[in-house]
Amino acid sequence: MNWWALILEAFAFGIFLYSIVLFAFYIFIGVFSIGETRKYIHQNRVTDYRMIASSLHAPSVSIIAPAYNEGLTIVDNVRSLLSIYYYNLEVIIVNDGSKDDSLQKLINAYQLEKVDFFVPHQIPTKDIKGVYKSRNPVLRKVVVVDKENGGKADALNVGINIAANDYIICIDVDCVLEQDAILKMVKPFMEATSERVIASGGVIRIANSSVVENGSLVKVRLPREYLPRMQTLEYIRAFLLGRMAWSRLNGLLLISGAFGAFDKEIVIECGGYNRNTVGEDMELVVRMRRYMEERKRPYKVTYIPDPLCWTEAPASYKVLGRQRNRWIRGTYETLKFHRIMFFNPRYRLLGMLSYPYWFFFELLAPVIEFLGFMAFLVMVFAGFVDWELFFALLAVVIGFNYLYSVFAVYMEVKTYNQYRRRTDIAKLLLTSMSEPFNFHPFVVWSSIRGLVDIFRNRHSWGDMAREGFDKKSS
Amino acid sequence: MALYGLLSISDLLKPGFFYAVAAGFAVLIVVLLILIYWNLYKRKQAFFRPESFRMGFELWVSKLVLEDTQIPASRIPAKFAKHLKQRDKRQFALNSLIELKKSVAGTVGDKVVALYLELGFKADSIEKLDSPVWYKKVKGINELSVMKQEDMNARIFKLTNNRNKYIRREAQAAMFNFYGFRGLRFLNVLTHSLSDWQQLNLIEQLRPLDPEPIPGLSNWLYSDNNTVVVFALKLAEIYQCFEVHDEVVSCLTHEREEVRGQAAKTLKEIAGDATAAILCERYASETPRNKIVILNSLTAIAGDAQQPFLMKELDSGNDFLKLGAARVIVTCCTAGWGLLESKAAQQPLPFRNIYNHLRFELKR
Repeated sequence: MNWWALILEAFAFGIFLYSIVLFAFYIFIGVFSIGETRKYIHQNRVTDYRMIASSLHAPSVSIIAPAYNEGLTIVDNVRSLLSIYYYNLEVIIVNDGSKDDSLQKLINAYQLEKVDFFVPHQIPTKDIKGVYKSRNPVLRKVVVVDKENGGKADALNVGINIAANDYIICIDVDCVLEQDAILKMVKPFMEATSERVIASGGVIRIANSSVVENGSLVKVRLPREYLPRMQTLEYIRAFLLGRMAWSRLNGLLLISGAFGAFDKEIVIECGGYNRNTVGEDMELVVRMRRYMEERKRPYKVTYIPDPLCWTEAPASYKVLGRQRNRWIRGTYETLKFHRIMFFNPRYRLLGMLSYPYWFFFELLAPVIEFLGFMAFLVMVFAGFVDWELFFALLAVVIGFNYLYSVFAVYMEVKTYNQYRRRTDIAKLLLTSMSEPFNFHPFVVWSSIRGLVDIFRNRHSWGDMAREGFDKKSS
Repeated sequence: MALYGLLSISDLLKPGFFYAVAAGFAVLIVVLLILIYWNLYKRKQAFFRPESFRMGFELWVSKLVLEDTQIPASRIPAKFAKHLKQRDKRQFALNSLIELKKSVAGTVGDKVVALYLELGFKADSIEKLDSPVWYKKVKGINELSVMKQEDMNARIFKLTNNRNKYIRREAQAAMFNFYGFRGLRFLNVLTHSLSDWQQLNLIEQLRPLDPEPIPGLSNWLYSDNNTVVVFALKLAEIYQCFEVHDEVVSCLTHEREEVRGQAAKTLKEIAGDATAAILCERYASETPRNKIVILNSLTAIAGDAQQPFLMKELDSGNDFLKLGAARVIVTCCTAGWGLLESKAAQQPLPFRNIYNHLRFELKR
C-alpha cells in the first residue's frame, strides 16, 4: 500500500462518515416533520378563519412586493394581491427603478396619483422618487413607491420604511397567494404567549402549468416540463419535511424571500435587509435570530405547512443554473457574516446545530460531492476502485435518495394532496428516478460555479425569465 | 500500516452489508408506494362513494329545517339510518350539521340542533369529549359548543384552564357560546395565557351580542394573569366601559409593556377630562412602541393644554414620533396648522414633508 492509496482510502472514509451523518440528519428531519405537520393539521380542524378575516381588531399587515421590469404581468400581479381576504391590509408595490413601463401601467390601471408622503428613514435606502396612491377609495389599500434602482433588499427596505402596519409580509410580486394566506400567516404571531414570534414562513409551491385566472390559482396541475416537475418534488421535500422539522426545533435559518412574514419592529431594530448579499432573505432571518439570542429575548421562528404561495419555477437549465448559483452565494455570504455563531454555545441551538448543519450540509455538500466525484475519477484511473464495493455504495446512496423522495410524496398525499390524479403522482415518482443522474449533478455543478464566482468576486443577481402561468382559457 | 487497517472501509464493512441496506430501502420504498396508492384510492372512494349519500342527506336536511315542521324520529328515511351506522358517513353527516348550524340562527338553528339530538350525534360528541387524544377532545367540545349543549357546561368549564392550549381555547369559546358575557367567568380562574388569537376569537364571538354590563371586568383588570388584564382592557375599549376608567389608568404603570400599551389604547375610548394629561405624563417613561400608541390616543382626546408637550415632541429623534406628534397638533390644537407651518419654515427638513403629508392625509 503506497501513500497515494492511503490518502485516497482516508478520503473515502471521510466521505463515508459524512454521508452517514447526512443520512442520519435526513432521517431525523423526515421523522421529526411528521409530528409538526400532524399537529398543525389537527389544531386547525376547528379553526374558523372567516371570523378573523373581517375583524377590525385583527393585526394590521403590510404586504411588500418589490418589482423590477415586471411590466408584462404587474397589473395582474397587483390584482392578485388585492383579492386577498383580509381587512387590515396594505399592499405596497416598490418599483425598483424599472426600465420598462411598469409604473405607467400601474398608474393607468389603478388610477394612481403622486401624493405628499413623509417617509420615516428608519433604514437607510436609495432615494424615493415618488409615492402614489389611488384616487379610487376602493383601492385605498394600494401604495406604489417609485425609487431609484438599488436591488431587491433596498426595495424591501423602502417598503419597510413606508409600511404603516405592525407586521410585514415580503413577497415576490409574481407570486400567487391563496385567498386565506394572510389569515394563516398572522396566526402564529398571535398565538405565541411566552415567546415572541419574529418571523413566519409558508410553504411555496410550483405553479408552472397550473391555471391562474384574475390573479387567483383556479386549477392546480403538475408541471408538464421536466425541470419544474423536478423542482415540485424538491420543494415538497424542502418545505414539507425540512422546514417543518427545523421549525419544530425552533432552528430555522431560512424563510424564503418569495413569501415570509415578519414582526416589523424587530426587523427595524435589526436594520432591515442587508444590501450586500444576494441571500438577503436568509441573512435577515439569521440576523434577527442572532439579535434576539444576544439580547436573551425569548423568540420563535415558525413555519406553516399549508400551501399558501404559488410561484413559477425556472424551466430552463440556464435560468435554474443562475438561481442555484445565487442561492449558494447567498448561503456563503450569510454564513460568513455570522461566522461568530459557528459552534458557539452562546447561541444555543442556533450556534450548535442550525449553523453547523447549514455549513456542513448545505454549503459544503456540493463541494464534498464534487471532490468525491473527482477522487473517484482519480481512483478509477489509478486502478484503486473496488468495483463491487462501489456499486454496493451507489445502491445505498441512490436507494436512500429514492426513499426520501417517495416519503416526501407520501407526506404530500397524506396531508395536502395537491396533485390528486394517480397519474400525476406516478409522474412525480418517475421524475424522481432521474434526479441522481440529471437534476442533482446539474444543481451541484451550478453551486460549484457559484462558489467559484465568490472567489472571482462576481455578485450579479441573474435574471429570472418568466414564461407566465396558464390562463383558464388554455 | 495500523492506520490503513483502521481506515479500510472494505475491512470495516463488506459490500454484502451495503446491498442488504439497499434492499432494506427498496422494501421501504415499496411499502411507501403501496401506502401512497392506498391513500389515493381511499380519498377517491371517500369523494365518490358518499356523493349520493351527501347530496341526499343535505337535501333532506335542508328541506326538513326550512319546512314548517317538527323533527320526528319517524321522518328519518331508512336509507340514511342505514348509512349513519357507518362511522365515516356519520361523521360526515355531523360535520354537515355543524356547518349548517354555524350559518343559521333562530328557529332554523333550533331545528338543526333538534336534528343533531334526534340522530344521536350528541353521544358521538361526548365520546370525543371523553377521548384522551387532545384533538378529538377539541372536536367534541367544538361540536357540543356549536350545538349549544349547555347541559355539558360543568364538564367543559373544567377544561377552560386545561394545560393543553387547544383544549383550553375550545372550552373557553364554548363557555362564551353558551352564556355570552356571563361565560367569561372562566377568566376569574384562568392561570394559563390567553393568546391574542384566542382574544380576537372571543371578541368576534361577542360582536353579534347586544352590549351589556360585563360582570367581573374591574377584577380582571387587577388579575395576576397579564393576558387576562389585556383582554379585559380590550373589552373596556370595545364596549366603552367608562366605569373602569381609574382601573385602566392604574394599568398604565403595569410592569408589562403590552398591558401599558393596551391601557393607553383603551383610554382613548373612555377618556375623561384629565386623561390626556395622564397620558402625557406617562409618555416619557414609555417604550417607542407605546409612545406611538399614546400619540394615537391623544389624536382623539388632546387639547390646547397638551400643546407645549407636543411641540417638544416634534424634536424627538424618531421620525415616527415626530409625525405622530405633528398629527396630534394639527388635529387637536386650535392653531395647530399654523404651529406646524412655522416649524416647517424654521426647519424645512423634515417638517415641510410632514406638513404636506398630513395635509394630504387629512384631506382624504
